[in-house]
Amino acid sequence: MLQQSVDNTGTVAANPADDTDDLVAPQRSFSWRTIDPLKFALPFAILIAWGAACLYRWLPPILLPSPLDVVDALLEWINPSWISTGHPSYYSGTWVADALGSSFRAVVGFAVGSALAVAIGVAVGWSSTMERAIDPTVQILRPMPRTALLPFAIIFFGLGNLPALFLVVYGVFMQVYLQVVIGVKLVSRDWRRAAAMLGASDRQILWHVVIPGALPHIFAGLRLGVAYAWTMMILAEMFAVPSGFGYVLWRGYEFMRMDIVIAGMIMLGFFGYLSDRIVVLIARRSLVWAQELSGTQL
Amino acid sequence: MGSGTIGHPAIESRQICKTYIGTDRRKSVALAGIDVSFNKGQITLLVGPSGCGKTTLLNMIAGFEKPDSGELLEHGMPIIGPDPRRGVIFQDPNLFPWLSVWSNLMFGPKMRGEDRTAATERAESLLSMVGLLKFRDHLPHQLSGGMRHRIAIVRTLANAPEILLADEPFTALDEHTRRKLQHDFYEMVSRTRQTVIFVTHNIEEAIYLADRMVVMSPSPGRVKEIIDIDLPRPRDILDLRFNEYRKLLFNLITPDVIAE
Repeated sequence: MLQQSVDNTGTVAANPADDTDDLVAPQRSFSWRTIDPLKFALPFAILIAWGAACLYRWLPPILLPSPLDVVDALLEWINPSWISTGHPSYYSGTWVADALGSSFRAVVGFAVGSALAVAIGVAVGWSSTMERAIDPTVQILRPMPRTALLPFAIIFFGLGNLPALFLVVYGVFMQVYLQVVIGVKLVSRDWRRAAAMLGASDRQILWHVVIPGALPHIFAGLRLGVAYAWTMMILAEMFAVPSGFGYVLWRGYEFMRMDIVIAGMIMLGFFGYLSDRIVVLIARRSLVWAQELSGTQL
Repeated sequence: MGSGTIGHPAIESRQICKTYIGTDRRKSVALAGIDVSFNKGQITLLVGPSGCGKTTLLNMIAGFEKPDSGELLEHGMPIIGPDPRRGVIFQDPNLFPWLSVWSNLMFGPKMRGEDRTAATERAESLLSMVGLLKFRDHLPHQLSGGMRHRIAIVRTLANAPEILLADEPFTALDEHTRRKLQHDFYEMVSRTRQTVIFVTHNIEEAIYLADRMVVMSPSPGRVKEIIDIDLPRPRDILDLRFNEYRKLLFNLITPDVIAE
């Protein structure tokens, strides 16, 4: 879709839209030279300060284990045979099962919650009848912190995947729903009029104009929602699920094992980052037009 | 189109009234009993100073708004809503930014389920008329403002409307681009003797395009004068007779502008 302005022999090809500002984004390709050292300065400094704090015993090891202790805990968690401490712990070798379980709960909950939010949000944004029927209920529930549903979920669903999935679906729905409704409502009246005068029916306007036009807002909602999926999932796992990252993290607290607590936090950060990147990547591909419109990249 | 029934009304407005209630709850009468008909196969220009209700009238003919009272007919049938028989060119190009130029042009035919080959042929010939065939796979925002306006005109015409409605489409453009687009626009609509209703506040543009001119005056909006423009085509904006029309219109409209 992007026009080449320079071909691979290095000669400049005729610019197709010569009276146009060049909004064409440069092709992104990985190269070591594109790495910005400034981005890594702060994390590196934190790592050094952390190492120094341990080396010089500024804090007792029980409060602040060394980076190497955390690496050991991570390795023990992933595969105990890599380091033979000889003291198997509750988390020894459970990483794969924890990662699969946590990802399953977060991903399935996110998929169901956001699918519901998009479907219901589009209906509410599009039809005033649907808005009257559904929106007041959502608006009453929305200010209540979503985490407050934890006791309800455990009593109602017991322990296991169900309360976790319920909490994730609910949390994601609340986060995404509002953005979808706003996105649908803000779709330009002129686009709808243009579609109508070209012969589109109401249903066609909804599918071919309103939903594509609302996509930037919908993706903003999904991005907030995916972060919320992990938040709700961890909360549920700490109290209601006997496995997963949240479970390992909370047991680490109970045993005063700061090394595994930090290891758990690192894993959650990594998985959260990974899922956010996936949403951003899909958004970049689906929203080429909106990025060109604003001259920026998501 | 092209049936030789020029002079037969395509659109009839009978005693159309429209009042808006502003945020301060004051009523403003946009249209006070508009009686006018727009002929088939003619280019009719709606001109007048801002606030005379010309855009309101056009939006009603398009079916975007409803009159408070009065009757609005297209070929004798009441207008109840937007219809592909009445194509609109907006003030902004208003293209769908997520669709390529070509998909924008095919939007109408696709929605209406029209035969693809006929629509393709129409769109391709119009696109080459405005010299933009090679931009068919671009996104609208990769084009300049003038190009986007031309694509918007082609999009509406490629949908084969019986009546073409234009709402100050060239107002936001610079003078040179505007001239070029006025020329292109006339070339496109005159080939098929397209029925056109065109709103503008630009007197020169109006005389350049019009077969017939409906001059409106503001507060409340009403028809002041209907003038047939009897000038040969292509029209020369520096011609003496062109200038006489310019003077006539200037004298008609200026008192309303000053009275505002």
